[in-house]
Amino acid sequence: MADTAAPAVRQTGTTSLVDLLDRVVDRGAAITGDVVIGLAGIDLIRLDLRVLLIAVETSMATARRSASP
Amino acid sequence: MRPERGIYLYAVVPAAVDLGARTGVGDAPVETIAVGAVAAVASEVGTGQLAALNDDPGDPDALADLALTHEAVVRAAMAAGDAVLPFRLGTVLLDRDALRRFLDERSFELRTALERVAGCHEWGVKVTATAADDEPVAEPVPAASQPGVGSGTAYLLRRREQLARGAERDRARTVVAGEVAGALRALALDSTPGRRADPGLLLDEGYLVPRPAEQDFLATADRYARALAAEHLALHVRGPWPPYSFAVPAGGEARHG
Repeated sequence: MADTAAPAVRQTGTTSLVDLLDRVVDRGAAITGDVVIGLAGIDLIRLDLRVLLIAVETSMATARRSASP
Repeated sequence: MRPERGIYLYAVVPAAVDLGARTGVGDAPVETIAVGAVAAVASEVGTGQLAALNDDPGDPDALADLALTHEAVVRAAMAAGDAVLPFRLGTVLLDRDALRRFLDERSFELRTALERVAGCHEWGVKVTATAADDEPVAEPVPAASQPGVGSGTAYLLRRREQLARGAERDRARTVVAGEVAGALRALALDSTPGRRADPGLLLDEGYLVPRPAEQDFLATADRYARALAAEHLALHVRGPWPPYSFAVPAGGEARHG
């Protein structure tokens, strides 16, 4: 229980990796069409990045739990 | 057969922007390739390097490295000029000619999109219940540790009261979260819902905020944060970000969200 009113948790400059991945994996301008490299191209990479995103979040959550008293 | 080399894209900027010398993915030198009024910030990349990400989904570090490198170049582009349109992570074109064609064909949309985000940062705001609130108030003593004490009926009544209080509280919180969103939207050029459907999030939005309005925006967020703290709610502000969530769908792909 906080004794004083908590100010907004404002994170500037340093970025949280999960927040960053949230943006760069799913947002940002996308290009589709045959100029995009196919096999190693954006769609395949993006698909697996989602899997990786979950892996990163899970590993960070585990780290948080073991770090807290 | 995929080509061995491709052009990795970070962002589109106005053609006059100069990033100076820096390196990007795989330590390749970052180039600014201009066509008319717009330019792409890009670097050469071995496609095998990115394919390795696909081959090894168990290595979050490789993704983290790529994301941080991407972000660093996008931020440099943002700092060098007034407007930046970030590309999605992992956008790779065949070659420089394909990139020039893209810039030429999309010239109008890109210029329009650059004008829209000029002088703006993206800010993310989330409202969550604080940790203290996750623990139920006056949790009934587990029956196993105190056999025979308290009847099942009393327990159920207490539990029902708790749930009713919870439902009322949830309704009140939804109203408050809507109020916060409304106040913040009024200071932003645009807003977009967050991507993650986490039921614990009362508010999750991105805002496109012009720099002159930034102070007002943050003061408003702080004011609500103090008010929400009394309700055991935490307001998180993240930023400033490059306008990832407000980059135009350059390929004509529908916007997410």
